[in-house]
Amino acid sequence: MRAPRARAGRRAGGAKSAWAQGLLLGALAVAAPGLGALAGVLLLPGLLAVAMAGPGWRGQARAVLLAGLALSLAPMLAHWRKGGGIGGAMAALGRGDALPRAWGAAGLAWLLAEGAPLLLAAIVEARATARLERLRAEHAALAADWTAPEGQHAAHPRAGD
Amino acid sequence: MLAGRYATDFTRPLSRACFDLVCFAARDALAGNDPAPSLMTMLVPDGMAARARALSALVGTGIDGLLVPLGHGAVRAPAGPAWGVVTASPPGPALFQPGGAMVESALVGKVLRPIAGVLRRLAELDVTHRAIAPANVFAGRGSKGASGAVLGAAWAFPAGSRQPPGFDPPYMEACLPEGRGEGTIADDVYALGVLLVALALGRMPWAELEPGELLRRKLALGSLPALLGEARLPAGIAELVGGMLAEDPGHRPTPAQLADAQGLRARLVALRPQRLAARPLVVAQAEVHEARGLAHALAEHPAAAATLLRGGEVGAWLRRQVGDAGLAKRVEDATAAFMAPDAGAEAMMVMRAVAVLDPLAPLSWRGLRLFPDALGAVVATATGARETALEDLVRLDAISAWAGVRTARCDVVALGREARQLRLWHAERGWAGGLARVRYALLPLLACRSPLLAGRMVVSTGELLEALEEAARRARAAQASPVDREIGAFLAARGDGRPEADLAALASGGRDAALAPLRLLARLAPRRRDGSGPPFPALAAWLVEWARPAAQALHSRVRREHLAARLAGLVEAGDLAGLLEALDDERVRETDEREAAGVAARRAAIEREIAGLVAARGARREWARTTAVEAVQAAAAGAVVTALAMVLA
Repeated sequence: MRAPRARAGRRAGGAKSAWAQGLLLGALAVAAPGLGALAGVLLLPGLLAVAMAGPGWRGQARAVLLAGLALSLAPMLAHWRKGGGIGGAMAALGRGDALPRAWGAAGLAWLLAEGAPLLLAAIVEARATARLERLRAEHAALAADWTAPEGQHAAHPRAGD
Repeated sequence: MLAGRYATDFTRPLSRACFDLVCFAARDALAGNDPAPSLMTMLVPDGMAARARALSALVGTGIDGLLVPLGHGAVRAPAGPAWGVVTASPPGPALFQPGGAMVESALVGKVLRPIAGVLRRLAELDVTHRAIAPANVFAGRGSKGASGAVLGAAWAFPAGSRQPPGFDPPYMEACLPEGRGEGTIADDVYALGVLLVALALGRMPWAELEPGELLRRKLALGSLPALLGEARLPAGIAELVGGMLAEDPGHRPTPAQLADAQGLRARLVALRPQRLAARPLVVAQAEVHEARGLAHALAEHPAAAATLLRGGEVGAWLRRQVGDAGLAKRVEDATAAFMAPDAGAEAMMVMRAVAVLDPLAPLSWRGLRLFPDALGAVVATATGARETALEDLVRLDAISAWAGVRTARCDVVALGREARQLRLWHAERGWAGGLARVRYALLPLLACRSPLLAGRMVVSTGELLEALEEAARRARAAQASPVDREIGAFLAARGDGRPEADLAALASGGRDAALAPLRLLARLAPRRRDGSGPPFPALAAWLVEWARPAAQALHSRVRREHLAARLAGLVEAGDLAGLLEALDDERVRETDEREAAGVAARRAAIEREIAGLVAARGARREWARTTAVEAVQAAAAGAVVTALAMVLA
């Protein structure tokens, strides 16, 4: 009973987060439609990742979103300072390399989030395997040089038998 | 070469030189070309032992008129190894010749006085002869040239076991042949008396009687009337032998008195006749008329005796028919505590009743009758049910009980001490106990009966190693221990030290059994640090093979290999003491055990760690994934902060 309830809790939490994110973006779109449009486009991979991430993938999604955000801050702040509307945001997107950089960073983060666990697991497993080999070799050497202290000596037959 | 000087010529057998014993001519190698007296070697019958005490007392003594033992030892006879006793050959034919009656003067001068002299000398040496019989008394000459009887040898068989019917007192004659024991010199006087009767008559009228019938007559009528039957002795002879054949050995003349016929006649004791019953008592279809006859019948039929004693018929008969209420009361008192329907109690009850009814009677135990000093010889020849009866006799301390009932006739304290010692020997655990231990302890000249020693007469532990070395060189069973049950009992009885623990281990099997034979035999081997002492390589190989479990009990392979190399060298050198030192090193064993325990703990820890590593494979993957993602996430967050700082700067 506990596991389904926990899953339901996690689903409720995710829904709240999506709702909060939607509210935040909606507020941003109303208050600053240009900035909202710009942020929405630049952060689209991260937002999609967060929206689509299952329970085991939220970390990766957050990494994608954060990496996109890191490269989106500069164009977004520049747009804010100019006070441009949606047209300005579209112009900013079409001009320069803000979009490829933001999406590239998100993609890189995704690659790292997917590849790093595999790499780390391989390293850890290699170390464990080496340790196992050493232990097995030591065990085999001890077994060859020493018999077990009890149980290996059958009783001598009765001398008269 | 026997005793280092006597050579036996096995191509020259001698017949009728000493009863039915196998005898061969012998010569003294030290005599050279001297006209030495002719000698003979008589072989101790299979399964029996020579009379150790008599041999020890008589070898080296010279007693005129007696074939004294000159030496004894193991010989390789044509039929196999045997124990031989060397004496002078009989000087002439047997003195008794059927039909040749001797006159009184010849009897006294040529038979009585010479043999009485011999018996007096034997009494001084505290030895009895116990084989004065027509076939063993020879015509000969003494050292002074006077013709006279010469007593034959009696040293190569159990005391009294070759006595023909009639020549032993009733209490001896009732015994098993091997169970008659050394007796006293009075029993030799009795046999001499019977011999005088036979020589005086020139025949033995009792020879036609069944042995049992003769015994019953002796008990009922007295020895002399029973022996004579219808025959009559000259008055002088009858008077002389009357005292010699007294039923009570205390009433017989001593050998010294026999030398003085006048004194002897003056000493004759008038015997009180036995009380005869008005009506006989029937014991297993045999009618008895007097107390001694009843004792004999009860001893002969123990099952019927137990029924009569439990039913109170014996007491009632003694009171009403014999008129001896005192004896009846003594019988009832002696048996009252043993009425339980138990085999041991029943045997004890009958034994005590017989001893009370006839204090002269031997110990009667489940139909066996013997004197305690003959227990060794009886045990040596016992098999089957007789062995079981003898086991119970020893276990239940019947000898002490018997002595306690007839205190006036024996040394109760000494017999009790001996009986306790027998019980202790018998009760030893494993192969150190049992009847075999009793047998070897009581018969110092009985050879070890182990089948491993076939072909050798091993009487002392000093000869055992050499015999086992010979056995080891022959084909032997791979699984056979170098120490079997017989050798175990032999070592316990004749060896030094306390082999009981090793023999118990050997009997029960188990880990200690591997080293037990080596421990037992290495004690007998002199240390050979200087290379002295005989080597026993074949026996050493045998012992090492048997001790293999002990050698393999070391946990360390390296130690085992070192030990094997060391053992190989010691086996080649035949060094048993060295083998024991190598195999039975407590310090090495303790170190090995301690280190092995440490190794076992380390192996267990390794196994646990391996199991943990294998089981944690999934956890490791999860950790790697979580850690890596968190790291990437942290890096991305760091990048956000850095970017924000740069933008705001």
